[in-house]
Amino acid sequence: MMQTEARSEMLVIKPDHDIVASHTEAMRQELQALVGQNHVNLAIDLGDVQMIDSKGLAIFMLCHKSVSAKGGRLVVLTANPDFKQLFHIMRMDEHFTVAETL
Amino acid sequence: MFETNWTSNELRIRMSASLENNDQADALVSEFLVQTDAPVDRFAVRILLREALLNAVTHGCGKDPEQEVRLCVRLEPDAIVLDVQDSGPGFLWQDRNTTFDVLGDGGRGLALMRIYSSNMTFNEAGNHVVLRRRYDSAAVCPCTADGEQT
Repeated sequence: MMQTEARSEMLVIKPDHDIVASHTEAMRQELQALVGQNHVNLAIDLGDVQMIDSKGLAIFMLCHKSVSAKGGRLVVLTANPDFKQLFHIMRMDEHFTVAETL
Repeated sequence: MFETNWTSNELRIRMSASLENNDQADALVSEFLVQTDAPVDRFAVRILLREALLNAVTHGCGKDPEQEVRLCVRLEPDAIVLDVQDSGPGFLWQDRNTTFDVLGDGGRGLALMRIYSSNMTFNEAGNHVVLRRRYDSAAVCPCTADGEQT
């Protein structure tokens, strides 16, 4: 389940669960539905997320590719230093923005 | 099936191969780390645990709940050891490079296990992995997933 909110010309999505393998298929479907509705500037707020695994990382990259193909962009919002480091070592922050706020 | 055996420095879990059981195992191991006051980077340990279990359940057992996964988390004097075995036929881990295409769909799990562990050992068949992380380890090794220094 994800809450959504329009902010600064972005649609902010706030998952209320960890982004791990048991949740990624449902999350992939929800994100693809949003992109299908032409929401192409997406921000994913990790404020309520405690854990991300490799399947979760794949969802971020899939989302990035989907919105980029439509001229949009993905921003990941997190103040968690573990998550920032994870996105950095996996070189994902070279492809989309990882920031604390919009 | 989800069976546990918890001692002062060791947690053993025997479970059916399912993603839901992976979540349950992660929660239990997190509680074990708190209760034992283990001197570990808990995020790093959870990453290692998650990826080893995901590999076992998905690649080893094909998400077949009739298959079984065994986990042992052990606190040794200088390191925490995660030992994960599955009843599947294994996989050709030798053929899988631990680097990956950042834009691709897969390959991140092995890279994460390499980066967050001090040592990773698979058996020949590929259905048993032992991950060791020293207590004095840096958060991650000083390189990105494709081996470049940061």
